[in-house]
Amino acid sequence: MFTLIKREVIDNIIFFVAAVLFAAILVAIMFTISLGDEAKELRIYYSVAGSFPVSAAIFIGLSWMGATQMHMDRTKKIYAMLFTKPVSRSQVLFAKFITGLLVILVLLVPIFAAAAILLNAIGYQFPDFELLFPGVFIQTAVGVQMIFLGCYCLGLACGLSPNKIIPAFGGVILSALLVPIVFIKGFGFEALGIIIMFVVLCLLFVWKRFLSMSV
Amino acid sequence: MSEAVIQIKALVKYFDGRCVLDGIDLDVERGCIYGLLGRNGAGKTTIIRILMGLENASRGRTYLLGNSSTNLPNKVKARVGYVAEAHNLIQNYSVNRLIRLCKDLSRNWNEAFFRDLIKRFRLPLERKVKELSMGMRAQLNLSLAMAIEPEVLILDDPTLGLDTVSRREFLELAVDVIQREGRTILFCSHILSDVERIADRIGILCAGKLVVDCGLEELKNRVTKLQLVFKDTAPKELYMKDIINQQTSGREMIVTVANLNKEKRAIIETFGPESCTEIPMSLEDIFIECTRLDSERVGTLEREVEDVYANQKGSD
Repeated sequence: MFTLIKREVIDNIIFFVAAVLFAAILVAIMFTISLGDEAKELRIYYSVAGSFPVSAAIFIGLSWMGATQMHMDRTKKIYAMLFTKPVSRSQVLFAKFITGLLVILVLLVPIFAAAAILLNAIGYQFPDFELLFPGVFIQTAVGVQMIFLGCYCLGLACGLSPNKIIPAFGGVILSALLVPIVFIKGFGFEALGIIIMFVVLCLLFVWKRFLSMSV
Repeated sequence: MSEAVIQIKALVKYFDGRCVLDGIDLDVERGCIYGLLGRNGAGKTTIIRILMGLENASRGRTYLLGNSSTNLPNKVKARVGYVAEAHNLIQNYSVNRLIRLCKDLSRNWNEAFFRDLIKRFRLPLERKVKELSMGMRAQLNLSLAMAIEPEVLILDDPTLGLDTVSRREFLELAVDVIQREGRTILFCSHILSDVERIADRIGILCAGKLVVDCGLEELKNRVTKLQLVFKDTAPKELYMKDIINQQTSGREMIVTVANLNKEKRAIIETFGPESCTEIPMSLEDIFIECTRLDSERVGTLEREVEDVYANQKGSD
């Protein structure tokens, strides 16, 4: 299992590098805006304007990563080699999923660590903040994690298609439909429930197809 | 009775509505070296891919070491070596990295034997797989398959792309595996001299059916090619059972017939040929005759082979 995960990580190292870069950009935006001299309203405007294109790129990147991981191994006949070795298809899929999860964590952990530091630095002490918005920090962290995971899973599902169009654009288009749920519902439990359900269904679909597909 | 390591039962496969395999039944017993022959697109690779669980069958079942191919346990896969026709190796890996991956994934790895093979084939370990020649890729693939000391070795046109010397080396290697007790080999090849050299049982696929499934020597003894010369014009057709192929040209007629015996010779005599000469046949000649059959006659030949097989089993 460890061998499969190691292979996936090395083969997808470009996504890890991209995750580190995006995390660095977002952290830099957060620090620049939060510690700047501008008025509070202007800061909010800058933070939204700055993080929106980066977030969009992350959503697209994650769905592309899922699709690439799934599709390229098929077209390059890597599955045809791996499936004849003493590893099960479920193990191969699990290794892919773990790699996707690792990329998301590489992306999110620095961002939320930076957010926590900033909240302390600019005066929102955690206990007071938590009193005002109970559980909001954790809810947001889990919510973002799940929406990223949702985009990645959509990519995996679209990558199963043998043609080139669906893996290239399907995940991105479907992610564009998934992400607005958060904008409409916010990071509350309702939205979280919907996204978790979506991720689970998506993974079940991918797993079922992956076990029986011809390679 | 010997155990069947590979079992194929009523296997049917359709590709885009086209029937590629039409009810294939095949048993390969332990220790057998089975050569599966057929023209391009006959379905040899499809059978192997279904057997390895890489392709789904439309109908029918296949079993490898007693386990259904649709869900081969890891411990069974660990006992099977496979060399794919297109040498499915990860192209952008270095040879070293690919070897490490295969080694880490395998449960049984004979490092000394593998290093010996690498040395024998003079494979460059630092180069990327995509930079290797077709022959080198075949050698690498074969070395990886052999390193796990497989109980069953499945080779899909393994000598494709190999030069004469490498092909000879491969055959020697195959013989080396054969000599280890209880190893089974199923292999496809277009180079019939290779098949003739190592196989002890032959299967010929034609129009989606297994028209021949018998021992190599038995096949050679069973199929006879006759040159008949007549006084005047040769008859258009000889009306006789088991005719695989017949061609008439002026006074001459070439007939390929299965299971030639006294009765059949007597029937031929009734047509009054001036002379009847037996033409020696190699496996290649037999293969060409068998694969020339049109699909209608395939069914007939298949039934005839079944009859002979059943009679033979009865007499055993």
